[in-house]
Amino acid sequence: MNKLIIKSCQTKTCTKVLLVHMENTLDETLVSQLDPVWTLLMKNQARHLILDFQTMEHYTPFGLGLLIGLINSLPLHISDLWVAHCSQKLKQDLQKYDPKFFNKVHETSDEDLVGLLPLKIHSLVDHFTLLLNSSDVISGQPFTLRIEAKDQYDSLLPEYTGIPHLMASRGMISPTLLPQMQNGVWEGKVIVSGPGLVTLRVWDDLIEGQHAMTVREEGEKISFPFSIQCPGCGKSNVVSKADVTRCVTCNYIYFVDLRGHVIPLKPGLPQADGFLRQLNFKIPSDINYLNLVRNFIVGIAREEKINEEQISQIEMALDEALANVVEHAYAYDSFQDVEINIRLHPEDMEIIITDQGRAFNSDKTPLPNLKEHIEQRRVGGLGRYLMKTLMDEVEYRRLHHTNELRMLKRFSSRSES
Amino acid sequence: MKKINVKVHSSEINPECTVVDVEGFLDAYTVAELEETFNNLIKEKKFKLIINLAKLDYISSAGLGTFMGVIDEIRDNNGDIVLTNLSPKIYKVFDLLGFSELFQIVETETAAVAKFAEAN
Repeated sequence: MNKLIIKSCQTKTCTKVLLVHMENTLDETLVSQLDPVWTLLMKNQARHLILDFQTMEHYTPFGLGLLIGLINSLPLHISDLWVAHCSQKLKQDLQKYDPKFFNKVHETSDEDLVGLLPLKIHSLVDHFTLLLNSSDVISGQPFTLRIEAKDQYDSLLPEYTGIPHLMASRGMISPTLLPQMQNGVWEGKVIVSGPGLVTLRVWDDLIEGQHAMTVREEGEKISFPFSIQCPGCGKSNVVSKADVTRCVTCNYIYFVDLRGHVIPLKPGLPQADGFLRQLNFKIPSDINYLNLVRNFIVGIAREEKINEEQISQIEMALDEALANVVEHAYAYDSFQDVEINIRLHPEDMEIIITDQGRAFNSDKTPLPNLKEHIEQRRVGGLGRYLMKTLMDEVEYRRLHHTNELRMLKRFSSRSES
Repeated sequence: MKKINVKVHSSEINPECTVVDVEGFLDAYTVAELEETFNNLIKEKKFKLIINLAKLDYISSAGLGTFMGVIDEIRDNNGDIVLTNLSPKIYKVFDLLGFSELFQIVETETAAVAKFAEAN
């Protein structure tokens, strides 16, 4: 039986990889099964596509021609196309059909494939389903929500480990960011304010789902100003209207509705496996921006009550890393992009810097000998020394056309607020 | 807000010494201005330099590199660079890279002037 197996993977940098295993015979029916793959690529939900021919036994000229046509029709932003485990004959035929084929498509060896794929491979996830424990949802009162990751046949995918966001079409909802899914499922308590018809939306990097429900109001409307107890510290706060408020004592943020229900808007204590927060942004490769990024990271770190000494260390390491990208990866070309990904966990901060410039770094290059550097009045290399000294982990990898630098800082005691 | 402010004036304690006040931050972008200042001072044959870093909030390896780039020429001309008023944060950076041994670092302008007098 002709089969197409499509697996969707996530690498450490959240880059989506589509790995397509072709089995048996590549003919026009198999190629037509590639449609959902192309749709996913078009929706920009994957950046890398690998076509693995290892288990393909035969191919028809028509099938091959169709495949090449599909590849040529991909939009330009799909920059990373790979074929793996091509036989010599297949390579020759591909080239025969399209002499420019291997200009646009890379060929990967076994090793590369292993390096590219993350530890977990998911089947093709398609959507989330949402289930509530009760059809009667009351504004401001917790209900149990169960979110499941499903494939196109509505089967549960236990291998899926996404990190979902929650949103409500009307009013407030808490939490808005969930910890990593376990066995394809998340279940927990949610509070919404509504009222009326509310659509809950769940989404992550790859898929989404929604559920419409009616949120009922219960209880008497209160009159404002109204005194409530802060869900964070318990101290009383006077609220002047139904609105989002910040506690004057502990800065906890919450929402008070027309009936005096208090809905906390922070997700509460972080769970051990989830991110506390993830920040992702791109800057131009312009040294003018170093200062802005430093201010940003210092601001974030202070919000998280990281101690000042460690903040200075993170600030400096990030600055050195970015300066290196501008100088070495891009040779001071300020019209390129540098992507910065910050993942904040309870115990540490991870910073990943990605660029599309020249390869310039290597974990294999030994750290500069400080004494020699200074004697020889050499500045180059000091940045790397600083990064390795100031951060707990520094790793560099080159992935095809991308440089990826990962730095980790483990927190010593955070300052008490 | 200006990113870096470099002011040059002769020391009131000893007019033979030149004080360079660096305010703001020294990173890969702003070092150019300090470099230009040093080049001008060298042209004007002012080699007894007291660098006041009291209002310097941040320095990167690029900033340190600027000092390293001119120190030899300045010392070859019987001068020196003495750094003053470093905040603990800034001092730590110098120390981390071993620059606290390469440069004279003192608390105040008075102490810096004294260093130059010692050298004579």
